[in-house]
Amino acid sequence: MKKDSIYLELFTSFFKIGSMAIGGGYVMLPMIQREVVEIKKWCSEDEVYDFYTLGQSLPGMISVNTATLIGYQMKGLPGAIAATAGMIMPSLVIIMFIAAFFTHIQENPVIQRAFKGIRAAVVATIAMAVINMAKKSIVNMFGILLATASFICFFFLRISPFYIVIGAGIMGIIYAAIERRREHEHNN
Amino acid sequence: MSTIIDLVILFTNFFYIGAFSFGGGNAMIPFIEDVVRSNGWMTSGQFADMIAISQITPGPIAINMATYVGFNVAGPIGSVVATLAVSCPAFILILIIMRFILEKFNNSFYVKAVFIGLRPAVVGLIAVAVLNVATIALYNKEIYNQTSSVVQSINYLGVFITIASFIAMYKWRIHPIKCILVAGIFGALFMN
Repeated sequence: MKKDSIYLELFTSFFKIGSMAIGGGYVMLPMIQREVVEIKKWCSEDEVYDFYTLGQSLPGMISVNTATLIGYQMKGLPGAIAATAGMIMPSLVIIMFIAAFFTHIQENPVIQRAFKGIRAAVVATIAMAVINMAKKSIVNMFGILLATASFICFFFLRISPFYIVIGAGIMGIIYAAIERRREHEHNN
Repeated sequence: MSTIIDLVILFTNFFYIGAFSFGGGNAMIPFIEDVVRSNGWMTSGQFADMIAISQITPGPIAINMATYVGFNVAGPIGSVVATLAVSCPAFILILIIMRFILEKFNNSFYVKAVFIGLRPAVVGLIAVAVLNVATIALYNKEIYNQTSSVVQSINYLGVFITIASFIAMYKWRIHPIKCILVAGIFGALFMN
């Protein structure tokens, strides 16, 4: 009984997040952090930020990727399946229901107004995710430069995140190699 | 028989979308539009409705879109097939990365070095998402086109909701889900 309950917990935690997060995957980041780090204590804050980093660097959706990573970290493949299924299930049920019966729900004026309010709150939610993440992820001048460069490349130059991620990985290796050499010389 | 062919087309197309789109749900919209159009699955009006519905319903936008397109093509089975297909590539990739790279080389120089680069870059990428959502939520392009006045084009009630939500979540530690719900009710009552 006890053995199975962790899978159920993974499923329900991500089901809860997936069913409440209106406004896309990024809205889920602070929710995942709240649930997984503060309430369930499944992983540390640093680990969650590294999962976001990896989740955003891979193809697909950061929210689903993060769920898969946390599930895998907890309980291997079955854990990954439980967490991912929990994340996907609400969409599947809600959208099937809407596609079958309410294809004009987006024209309802009350829903449109409610969504405008939600969208404004979504801005705050993602901004909070970025600020929290920046505090942990940007630790020196190199980080500030890289974050700025990545912002400019994506926002102004419209370069695909695929190339930005690869470029950033290479920059990381170059930076670490230089640091290592410097330390080496220092020790000699 | 034709349903089975539809399901195969659905699976392969959404698997491809899941494998090659970086940058989340919004990055997938042009890919999905292409697939839907070339297969004649939806009219452009239906497609626009689908995007609007995917955005106002909970869950990742890409999953919502996959479920919706799948349903239009082949009912509930189509939904399940498209959703699984779009999630599959990243899922498999993560299993491979975790099992064969991170578990074995977690402390290796290269894994650490790559993360040193990725962490700040991803902050930059998500910051773009903030700006994109903020422009849509807090700024009315149509009013700007009519009046060419930035001051009149700002949605001040929206800005108020954004600031209030930020304070509630950041300072008072209110759960983001509660914040979103309150903002929705507030919007339904006072937004126009």
